[in-house]
Amino acid sequence: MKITTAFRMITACAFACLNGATFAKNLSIDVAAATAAEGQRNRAAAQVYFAPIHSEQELHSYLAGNKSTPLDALDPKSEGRFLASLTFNAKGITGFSYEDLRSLSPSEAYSILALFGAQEAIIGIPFDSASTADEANVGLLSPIVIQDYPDARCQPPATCLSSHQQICLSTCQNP
Amino acid sequence: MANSKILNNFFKYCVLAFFLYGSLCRAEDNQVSDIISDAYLRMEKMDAKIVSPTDKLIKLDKIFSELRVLVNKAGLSSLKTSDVDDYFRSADKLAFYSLGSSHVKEMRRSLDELERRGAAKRAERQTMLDTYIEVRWFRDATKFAAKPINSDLKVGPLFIPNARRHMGRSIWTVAPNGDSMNESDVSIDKGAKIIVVSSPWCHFSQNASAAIFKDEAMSAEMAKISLWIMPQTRLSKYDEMVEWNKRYVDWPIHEVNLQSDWPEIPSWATPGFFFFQNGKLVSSVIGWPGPEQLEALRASVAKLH
Repeated sequence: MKITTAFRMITACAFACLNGATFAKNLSIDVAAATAAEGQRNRAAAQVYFAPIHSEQELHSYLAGNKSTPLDALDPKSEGRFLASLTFNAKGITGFSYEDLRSLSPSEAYSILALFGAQEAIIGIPFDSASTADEANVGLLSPIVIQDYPDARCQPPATCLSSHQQICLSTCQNP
Repeated sequence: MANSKILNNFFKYCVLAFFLYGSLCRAEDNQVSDIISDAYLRMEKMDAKIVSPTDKLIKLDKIFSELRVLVNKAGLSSLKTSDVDDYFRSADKLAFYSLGSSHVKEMRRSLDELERRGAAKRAERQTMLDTYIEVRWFRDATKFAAKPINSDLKVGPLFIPNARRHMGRSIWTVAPNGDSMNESDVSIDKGAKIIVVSSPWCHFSQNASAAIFKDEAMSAEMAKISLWIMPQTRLSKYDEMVEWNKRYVDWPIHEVNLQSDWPEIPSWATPGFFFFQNGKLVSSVIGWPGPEQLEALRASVAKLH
């Protein structure tokens, strides 16, 4: 075998190995991201599961049975608008409008969304103002992969559709 | 004596008339206020209820047109601040769906009124700026952002238009450092093309892309003939686009310049896979319930070859 041929073969092998390594690296990064994303989705699904409200009917019962609720932070007009914007599937909340939550503090919005198990979606809300402590803690909620899609709504079959100031939650899985 | 009694009575009637007029005006104000607030609530309910963007726009615009007549009749400057605020929200909602100039102008008109009263919120000013970018009114965006009151707004990357004037459709690609969005022309008129309507913030799109990445044959096909586009957006978050483009080098995501330039795309729900042959839509696959959707993609790809 000529030296040049051998050199070419070695170069080709090295190139293939490097490419393979890059592909493997990319794949492992992607697998890690996908695993993290799946973990986040499971966590969000569990939060919805343990929340007190999963449907419009449960919402009405909750409002009728409680004199004071976190929704009191909203004025009656804003409360009406927020409640009208909620969307549910068989398991619970799939989306909401953040418009009227923007004027609240992140703590107040968190308490409201926790009624539905969607409290971590506050990271997608552009608040008018927030205390330093609230801002820092909202930052701590930031997921590895953002999966709550602002300005979109959960739309069967398994899509998010542009929708004004709504959030298509990661719990919009196979609605 | 008689004169003083007449004067006294006259004065009493004047006071009474003044209060009556005041109450009538207040009643009228309250009535206008109720109509505006009710119209916005109806729009919100309609927005949640109607799915089809076309139907939604027609119905919302009908309410908004009535609202605009009422507001113009009463005069924007004579409305209560909360009503101007509701009018801004209504115009904002319409501008979101229509991406149209008249609604954007109404947004600005009501925001100016709120600003005049010192009542414009930061979030509203940010929405205005982001809307200008979304509808590609870059000159207005620059002027608006330069106002001292808007120095607290988040300004996104610099949009650098295509140097050559173009007649067809174009897309915007985020620079690797996220500092700019660069415009380039795009054509789907020749050969096989897969247009993927997607978004880096959509978990269904993320799942679809990850599943395709793991499938060697589909991955190669996407690298060869796909173009991943996202709808016009007012989200001033570009980090996720940069991240997506780093992860999926072979199918980076681009934002379309104008959705109206893509009449062949029947839906902007994400993800949607549209298979074109010489500019003609051959088949489509909508949504990503799970990796089983790869089969549907394979079937559609087969139709292209």
